[in-house]
Amino acid sequence: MPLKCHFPVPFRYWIVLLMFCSTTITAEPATQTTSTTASLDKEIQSLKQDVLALNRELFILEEELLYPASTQVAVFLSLDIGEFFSLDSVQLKIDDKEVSNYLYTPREVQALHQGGVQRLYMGNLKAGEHELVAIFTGQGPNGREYRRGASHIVTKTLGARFIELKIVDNDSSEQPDFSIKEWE
Amino acid sequence: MPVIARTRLLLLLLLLLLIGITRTLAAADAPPSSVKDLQYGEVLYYYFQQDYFDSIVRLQIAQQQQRLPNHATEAELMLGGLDLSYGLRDEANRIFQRLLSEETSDVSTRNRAWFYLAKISWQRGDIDAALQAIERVQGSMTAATRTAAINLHSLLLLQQGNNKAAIGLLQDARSGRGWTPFLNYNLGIGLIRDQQQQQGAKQLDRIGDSRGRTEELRLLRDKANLALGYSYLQNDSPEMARKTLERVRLEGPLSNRALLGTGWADAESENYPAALVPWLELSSRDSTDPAVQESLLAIPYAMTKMNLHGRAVEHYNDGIRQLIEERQKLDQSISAIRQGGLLDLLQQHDLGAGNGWMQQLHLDSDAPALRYQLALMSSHDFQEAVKNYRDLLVLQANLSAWKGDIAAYDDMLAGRQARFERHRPAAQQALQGTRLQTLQQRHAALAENLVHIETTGDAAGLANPEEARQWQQLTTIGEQLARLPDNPDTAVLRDKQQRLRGILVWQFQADYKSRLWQSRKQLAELDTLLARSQQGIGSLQQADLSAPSGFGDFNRRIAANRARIENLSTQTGATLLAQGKQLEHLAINELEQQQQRVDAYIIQARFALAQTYDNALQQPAAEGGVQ
Repeated sequence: MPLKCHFPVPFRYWIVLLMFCSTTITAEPATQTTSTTASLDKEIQSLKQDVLALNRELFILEEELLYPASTQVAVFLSLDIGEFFSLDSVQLKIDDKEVSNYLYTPREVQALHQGGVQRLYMGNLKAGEHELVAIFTGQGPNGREYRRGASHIVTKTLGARFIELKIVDNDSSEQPDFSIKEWE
Repeated sequence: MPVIARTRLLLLLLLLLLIGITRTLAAADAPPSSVKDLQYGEVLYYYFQQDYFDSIVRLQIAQQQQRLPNHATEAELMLGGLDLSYGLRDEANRIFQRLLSEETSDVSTRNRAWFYLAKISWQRGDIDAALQAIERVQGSMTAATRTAAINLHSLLLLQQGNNKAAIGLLQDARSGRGWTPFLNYNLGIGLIRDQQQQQGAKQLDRIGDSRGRTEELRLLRDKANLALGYSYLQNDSPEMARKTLERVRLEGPLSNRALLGTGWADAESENYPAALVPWLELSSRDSTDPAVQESLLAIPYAMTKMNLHGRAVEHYNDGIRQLIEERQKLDQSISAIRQGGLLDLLQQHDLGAGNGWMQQLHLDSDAPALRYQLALMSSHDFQEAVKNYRDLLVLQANLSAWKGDIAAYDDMLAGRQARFERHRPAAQQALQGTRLQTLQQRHAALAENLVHIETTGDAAGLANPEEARQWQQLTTIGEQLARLPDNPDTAVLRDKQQRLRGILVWQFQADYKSRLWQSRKQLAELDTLLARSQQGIGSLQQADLSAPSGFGDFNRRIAANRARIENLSTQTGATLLAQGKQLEHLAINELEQQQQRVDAYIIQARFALAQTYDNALQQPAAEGGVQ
């Protein structure tokens, strides 16, 4: 005898399937799985924290070993607005010797636009005066190729020296400004 | 509409509600970007790239080195938020609890801490605790914090089933810029769940009819239309349902469900030929989607209703064949996952892609192990498991890189020690010897002599070595001539000696000023050199030449960290294995459920096929009779 179908056939099976899956089959294993997942999650949290602590310790060790404060110099880069300049790369020279030539990914440029500050270079300098030259390459106003340099004399003393390369929009000239600032 | 369909629609509405809120919460957590300490900016640089691991490490280092004097509280809040994003819920919880226990914390800090605590409880599934925390967010606050708090609060109330409270909250809300559509979406869902269909439809319709300037807003528009369309179906308003569902983008991620619903709207109106249009389009799409699978049965169902029994039989047979193929593909996928195919694919992906890592997986959807990833990724547990697995892979790569670096540090330190040993005797000699003292005495005598020459105007004192020799020789000759008896020969010699002496004196006087300047300059240079030597000796005196403590400390730290790296690598390997198993278990479990659904569809299709034959036999003269 044929069965009568009063409503859409595919819908008809859903309730049976849902009830089946949510109670009969998965009830018991679900408890075990949840408990395993929870303990594994705790283990992963603990492991992550241990590796984070290790990284913290190792970065500090590396800094003290390779860049002691008496000779340490760190160069950072920041962007402010950046409407008139789209950054591609930065070349950094200290005392006429290239120490960094960095090519940026779109994700990194975006992070700089949002207010992030990149540590471009970390190295050692003897006490005394040194010339720092940064050459910025990218696209300037109207999408033209743009290459500009900025220089600065750093007087290295006994403490660590932090230098910031800043790319700032100059609204009056509608051009980017490149400046170098020393942090105390 | 049948009860069965209603149940499904409610589930669908709930799913849509959850998706909408989760996305918008993530957008609420951006920290302020004004940088007053360089190292804080460096943390933001990693944060904005969603590199939570490096953000946390940099932030903790900056805190330890006390380089965040202008962002102390901000940094602590940020660390908690970063920990939370990185899955360290327990640590994040401790940080926010600590911030709240500090009497110095201002209202803004306390509000944000309570907000994060609510979020942690929500993630843990503890709705009551989350509600208790979110209710503590009060007083003056930034628009961003207020809106994020309202959003979370409304979600919690909805999850608790307290629709009326959620509606009240959302109706009184003053949202931050750009948030209105998201809160209105939640309000619309809340109203519909509270049986206030008309008001809820008004809210969702406004979003569903919007322009959608960004992809995020276009997705929200699709969700609103889908939710509203299915709610119209549930309330027996198929015409409104169809109009609403037709606004969902045909190529968007929700288009399959919209096409399925549009067909059902037409079927509910008994307009079966119209229902076939979206269903036939749907049936040509990726058959891993349950909506597509459902269309394989819906098409012959409509044809049966149109008395096209012959074509219905063809479509049932075709549908059964496709579903059996799907069943076989699911078998292949499960088998591939069991053989480690899923973990292999995950391991091959670029770990540096941050959150984009998940999106990259879609590129490999042809691989059997990842063929059903869309279905898998819709499961929160599976997503969390993949994230954890990826995090463990990153930890493993991190530890492996440090293994190489620490070996290099070891070599470097050994090299430094060897160099130090080579230079130590000379350094010790420099410390013990009296050379610098002698040089300083000579310098002092020279300086005194120069002062004497300057005050007495003794130009001969500035003679060069040759002139000094000549001057001395002439003086000796003069003394010898003085002892000789006076006679014409002696007089000639004395005269000659006087003349030569006069020439030298003239030379001395002529060059006096330039020589004096030169001498002063050389003395100043000597002064600098002696000072530097003194500084060098001072540094040497400070250094412990017999047993330098620096090397010992570095050696100890390197050895301790090498052991930690080894230990953590072993632990990570073991946890990675366990997490991999967990991931495979979740994936297989999900695919087995899919198999059960496909099996059910196959049984249902066979049953419907038999029924169709039966109907056709009862109506042999009908247009669509079985051939």
